Amino acid sequence: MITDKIIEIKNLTHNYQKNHPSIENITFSVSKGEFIVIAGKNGSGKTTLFKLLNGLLTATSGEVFIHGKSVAKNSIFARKNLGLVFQDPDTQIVGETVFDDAAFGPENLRLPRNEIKKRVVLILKKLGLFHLKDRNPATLSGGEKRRLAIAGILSMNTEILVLDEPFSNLDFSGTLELLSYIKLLSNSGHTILIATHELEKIIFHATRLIIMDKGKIIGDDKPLKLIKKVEKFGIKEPCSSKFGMGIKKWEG
Amino acid sequence: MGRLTLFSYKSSNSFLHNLDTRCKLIVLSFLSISILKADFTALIIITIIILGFLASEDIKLISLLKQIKYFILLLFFIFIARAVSTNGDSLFVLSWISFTKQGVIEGVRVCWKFFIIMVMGILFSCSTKPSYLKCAAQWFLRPIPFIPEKRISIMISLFLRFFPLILKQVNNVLDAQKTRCSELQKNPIKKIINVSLPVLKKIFQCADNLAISMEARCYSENRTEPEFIKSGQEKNVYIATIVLSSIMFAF
Repeated sequence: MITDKIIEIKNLTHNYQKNHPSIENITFSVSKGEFIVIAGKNGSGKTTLFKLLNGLLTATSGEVFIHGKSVAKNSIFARKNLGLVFQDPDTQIVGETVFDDAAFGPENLRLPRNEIKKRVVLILKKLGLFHLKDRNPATLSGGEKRRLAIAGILSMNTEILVLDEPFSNLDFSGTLELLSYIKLLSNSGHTILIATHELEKIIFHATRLIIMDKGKIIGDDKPLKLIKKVEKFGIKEPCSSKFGMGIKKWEG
Repeated sequence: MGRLTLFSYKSSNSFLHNLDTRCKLIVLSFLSISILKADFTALIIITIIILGFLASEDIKLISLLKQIKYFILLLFFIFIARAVSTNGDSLFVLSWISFTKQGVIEGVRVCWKFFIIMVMGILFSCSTKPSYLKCAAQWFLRPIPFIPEKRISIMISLFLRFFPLILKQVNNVLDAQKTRCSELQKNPIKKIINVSLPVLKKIFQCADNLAISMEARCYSENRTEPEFIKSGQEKNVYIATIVLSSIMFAF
């Protein structure tokens, strides 16, 4: 049977401490082009799940497959296809200039220098960072740093983009700016998974909402079907939904 | 938004920026050694050249002096030490300490030399991307057996990248403690412990996050080989350096 599932997670469990699972028996799959929001309060297991998807942690039991290949056995293959953007861009940015940082991933993949330049220029233009290519990342704004962290991942030609709390520490304009680029990437065919507890900002664009609590998946459905239940799990329900107006665009 | 120091790389299209990093390193090492032999005539010549480079890099002398104020303080102590410890004709006596004419001249000469070496270092760091410095270090270390040149070069570049971040964290911790009246703590050892423990914790956390994020981007030692940019002026720079060094040895 031909399937368009690009990520398959089967009975995934991970323990940091014995008998205290941070992720417990998680099973779900992701199809190409989906825009999934994974919501949960702090400590619900979102970041651990993302690290398992990228092969940065080893599962206690269960397995993750990307394009049918086991992440545990093919971590480099997984990282080439699934890019993880961390919560704090300051520790993710390693280059001394914007261009150098975006080139870090392709250099690790041992691509020829002209191919690296081509890719980096393309991605920086796509994310509106090309005019900053010679800037020191320390001088960028919060939103620009976050976009640079995404550019660093996309320059590796990853088709799945996983963002861990992308709106944390961003002001209103920075969040709007980042939202517009995330939408752009989704429209251009990238599969996107976002972990957040700030549903209001992103839920309008999501095709699917997964709620996590204490390392387990509590709900997995279309956002409209789950949105009324989120407050039971420590996640703030968007104002528009509270006032009976359904899910509205956050940027209004 | 972060603030750049004079030691941070600044993007430009200047003569120094376009020069091969290996050439800049060789010239810097050569001049730093030969300047130790220089006398006032040679020091005046090299100072004029360096002022020219500072202007071409758009570095204001006042802001440079402000940023290296602690280094200047150190030079002041060196000057005093030289002025009072060198034998010669007494210039003036301050309570029981005698400043000699030869000591003052020697002090000025030594401090001037150190100042020039410092400014040359600043010119090098603001015109050289750490990634190029890393490549140059890798290139210089390659012929030496049993040295993991790729590992060392990435460590150099990460240190240069994260040193300003560490300083920022120290300042954040200091500010956070000042808001809780840390100035009232008079015991210097307690003060150091109060600052160093949270800073160390943050540094280790930061290093851990960095290692994970590098791994997520497929980092390994086998990466695309470094690329050197050459301006074509390197040969002329080598000749100029030899001439300048000869002047310093002669005068």
